[in-house]
Amino acid sequence: MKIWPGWERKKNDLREELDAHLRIAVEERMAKGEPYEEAHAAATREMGNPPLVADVTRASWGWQWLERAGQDVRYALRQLRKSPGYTATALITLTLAIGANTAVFGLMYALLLKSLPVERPDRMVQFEIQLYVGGNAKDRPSDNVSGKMYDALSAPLPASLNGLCAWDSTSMNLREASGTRPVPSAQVTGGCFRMLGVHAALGRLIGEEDDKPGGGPEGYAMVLGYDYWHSHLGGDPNVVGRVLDVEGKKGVVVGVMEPGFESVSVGDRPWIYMPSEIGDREDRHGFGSWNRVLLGRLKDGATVAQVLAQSDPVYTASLKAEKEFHYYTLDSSGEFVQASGAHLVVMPGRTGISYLRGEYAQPLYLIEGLVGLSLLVACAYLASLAGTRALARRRELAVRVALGASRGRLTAQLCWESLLLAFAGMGLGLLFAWGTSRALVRLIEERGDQPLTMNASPTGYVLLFALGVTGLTVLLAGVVPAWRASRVDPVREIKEGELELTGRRPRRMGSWLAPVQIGLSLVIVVIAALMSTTLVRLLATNPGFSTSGVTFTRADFTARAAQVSKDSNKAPASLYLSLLEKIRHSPGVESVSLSQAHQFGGATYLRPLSVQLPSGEVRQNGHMPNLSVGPDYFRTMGIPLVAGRDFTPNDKEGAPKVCILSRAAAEFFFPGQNAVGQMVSLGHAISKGPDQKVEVIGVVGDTLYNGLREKVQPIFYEPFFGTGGWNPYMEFSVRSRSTAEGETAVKEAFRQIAPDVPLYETVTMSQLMGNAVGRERMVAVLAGFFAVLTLVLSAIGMYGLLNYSVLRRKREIGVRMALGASRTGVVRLVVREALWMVVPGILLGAAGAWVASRFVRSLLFGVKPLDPWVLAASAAVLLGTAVLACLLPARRASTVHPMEALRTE
Amino acid sequence: MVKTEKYQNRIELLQGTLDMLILEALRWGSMHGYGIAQGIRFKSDEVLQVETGSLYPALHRLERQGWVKSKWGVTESNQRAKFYEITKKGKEQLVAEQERWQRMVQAIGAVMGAARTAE
Repeated sequence: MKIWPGWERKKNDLREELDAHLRIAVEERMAKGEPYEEAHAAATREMGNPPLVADVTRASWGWQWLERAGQDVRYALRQLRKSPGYTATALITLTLAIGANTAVFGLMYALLLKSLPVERPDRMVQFEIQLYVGGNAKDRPSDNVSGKMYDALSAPLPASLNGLCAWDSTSMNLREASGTRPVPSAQVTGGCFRMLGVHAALGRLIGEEDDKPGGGPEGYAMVLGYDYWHSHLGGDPNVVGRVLDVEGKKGVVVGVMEPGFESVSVGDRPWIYMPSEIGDREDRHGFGSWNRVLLGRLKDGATVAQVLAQSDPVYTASLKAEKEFHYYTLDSSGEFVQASGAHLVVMPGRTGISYLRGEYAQPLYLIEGLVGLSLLVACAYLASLAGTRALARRRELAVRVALGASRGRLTAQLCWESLLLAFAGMGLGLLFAWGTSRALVRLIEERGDQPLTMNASPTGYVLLFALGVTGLTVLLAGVVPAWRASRVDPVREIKEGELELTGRRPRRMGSWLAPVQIGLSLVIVVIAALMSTTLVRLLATNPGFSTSGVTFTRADFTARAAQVSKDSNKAPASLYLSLLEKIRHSPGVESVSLSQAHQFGGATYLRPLSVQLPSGEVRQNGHMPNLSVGPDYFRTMGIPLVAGRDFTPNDKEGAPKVCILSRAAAEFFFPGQNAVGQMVSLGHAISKGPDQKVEVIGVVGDTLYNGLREKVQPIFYEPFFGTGGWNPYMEFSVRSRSTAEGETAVKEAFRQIAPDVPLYETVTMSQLMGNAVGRERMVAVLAGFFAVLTLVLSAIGMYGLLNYSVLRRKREIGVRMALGASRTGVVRLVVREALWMVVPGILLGAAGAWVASRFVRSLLFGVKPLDPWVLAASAAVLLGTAVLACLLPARRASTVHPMEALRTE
Repeated sequence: MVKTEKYQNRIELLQGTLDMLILEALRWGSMHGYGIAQGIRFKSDEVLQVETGSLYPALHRLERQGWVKSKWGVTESNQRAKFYEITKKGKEQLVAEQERWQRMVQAIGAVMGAARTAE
């Protein structure tokens, strides 16, 4: 192998120069009359040893270390080629360990650590709302604020801020030649882009002057996302001035966003940026629409604390002014309670905003910890492998020490092997990380939402991280064992022989590595077991409705409702009925209904209700979850009708007001009575007027409302056709033979009857259930993966150590057997050695698991952090692994033939 | 034995002195390695023998410093050899080395002279 051709040429040149020296010397002597033989001999003597001269001359070039390294690399490569089994195992281990670390860190970096691609991201701050119940902070602060808060805080701007931006990531209906469809958009206040310090790739961005009700004279100013412009419009350079129809409003393209910047929300990629005033008044300026995030930029020298001191009083004052407004939150027992107060929280905004962050930060740190542990296990495994290899080469090393090699030189040479392996492993690991990054993002992506466009593949800091991890691996699995292995005593090693018979073996290296490895594996196995149990328990929860065969398709009737009247949220009932009819008669459809919101749809709707019992007792619930559902909703969802009847299309406006209660709601209002036929009042107090009372016409089975960790909620169902409608978005639920048929039925019906109504992506109930356990699933899947990986590594590591020890003790075993030891006795010998590794390992692991399980407490469901069954099962798994690992060595030991073993003496 | 006697006559060269001697040997024209060694030996009346193991590292070092440059050429007897030639920078270095050497000789001379008078 040549390091580079110039080097070889220079070496040849030197050799020739020395040859010439000798020739000239011989010639000169011959010219003086000496015969050739004599002249040659004398000249050679005078010259000395030419290769040595060449060597010291090359040393003067100052590149000797490189040459030496080249030799070492060649030697190491040869050694690796000679043992393909070892090389392959080590490479696979390293690839998985480094790859998994890099992949998880990549996701963590993208989600939690990466700066926004804006000017001086460290000067950004973010506003959040923290709810209080009885004076205590409740849950995490929420990112979402309302438009009115922006209005209150932006005029006048707090003195410590340079700018303020309210950003609403939403989807808007864009009318194109091929039809109307919802596209991911961002509604931004006028100062956003200037405050962020982002620039246009083409044309200009939106400014203060564009963010006015009604837009500019040409229409609302629109800025296109760079990727959208490229992928959908072919990067058309003449796009500025193009007119867009967005929800019936006229927009005009004024520019294209620079590449690299997408949104202040991580994983969000708007196609179109538009002024916030394009939204309707209530949406943009209301106090109760929690649809936007709020970011500010600090003035130089200003602090986060100053911003809070200047903005929180403004917020609390505006909150006081809203008498009708109340915050609700879930208390620890899963009941809705009214918040006693709310305050602003100002946070550093360098990394932007992510709705995933609150949910995934803790699991990701946990997973990163587990991956780190498995890297340590891998290092321990590789170190013991390297140690064993070095032990096998003791004779060779001893000879080299005897010949004068320094310890440093030996260490360096042994290190090259691990260095080569580690960097090859890093290369493969990066490929692994790159390949799995998409899958990892998908693991946390929620179906039915806009797809996450997060780039978690290794770049920049993530590459540096990988390099650091690799360095650590080389240090732990290469340098340390190599340094230890290079401590050889040539005299003892070369005449080796009597040691094995003394019974007291010299301290092997790696003997402490095995218990550490087993301990770390136990920690990972326990976490994996806890999380899998949690996942299983969550999935085994009965939500009260059937989780398969149901699809939901959201339709946006805004335009149709506006045709009915200015304030209407509903299209004419006949349109809904004909759509339902059409879908009902499509192939494969068993049942269809429509509703505003549905179980596990994500949104929570509450309303105050009260009942006066004949005894005079008043039972009221200020915030009972409710849903507005059409006929056949319960049949479609698989919720049993316990008593009374279902809604019909005749339960419409003008007809007597009716409602259906869930069993828990019926039990709450009418304990021990038949609820059907009784009256419930809408509102806090008992209302006198007849129109505020509704009659209970049915009772249905209990269901969960929005999450698997909830307790069963009382639910109040109102008839879809009998109420005004909360918003123009309707959910069409379909029960069908296959979910594909359900989706097709809805799409086909809309295509025929209302092609102008935009449809959102269809989601299945099982996808929604999947979303509900997304976090737990991610942790369980990843922890399971690493548990298996570390178990395998520990097993192989233990097998290697035991096997080697049996080989070394072959003669001892032979002697024992010759002296009458039984085969079982010999097996016991091996097992005892294995136990010496496993028992301390399990004790170590139990302590580790005790610490680690504290961190996962809040993620668990239906299982305690120190569940004895989980702990026992995990320890049993490890013990089983250990038994597997010592089977072969024990067998080998028991088949030692005393005569053969002793004959080799 | 002849060889031993020869060795007794030799003087260990001071650190850095070899470089100066080589530069001096090259002052009058380009020369190959063997020629340089022979030149130094001849001029010093066989007292200074330059070992090949010192000569070539020194030559390569000087070349890397840019004080000499080398090219392949042919000797009078038609042998291919590498010829070294002093550069402008090398000549400046030689002058500096010579001055340093003179000062050192004077200084050592003064010390030794004083030592002799004290005896």
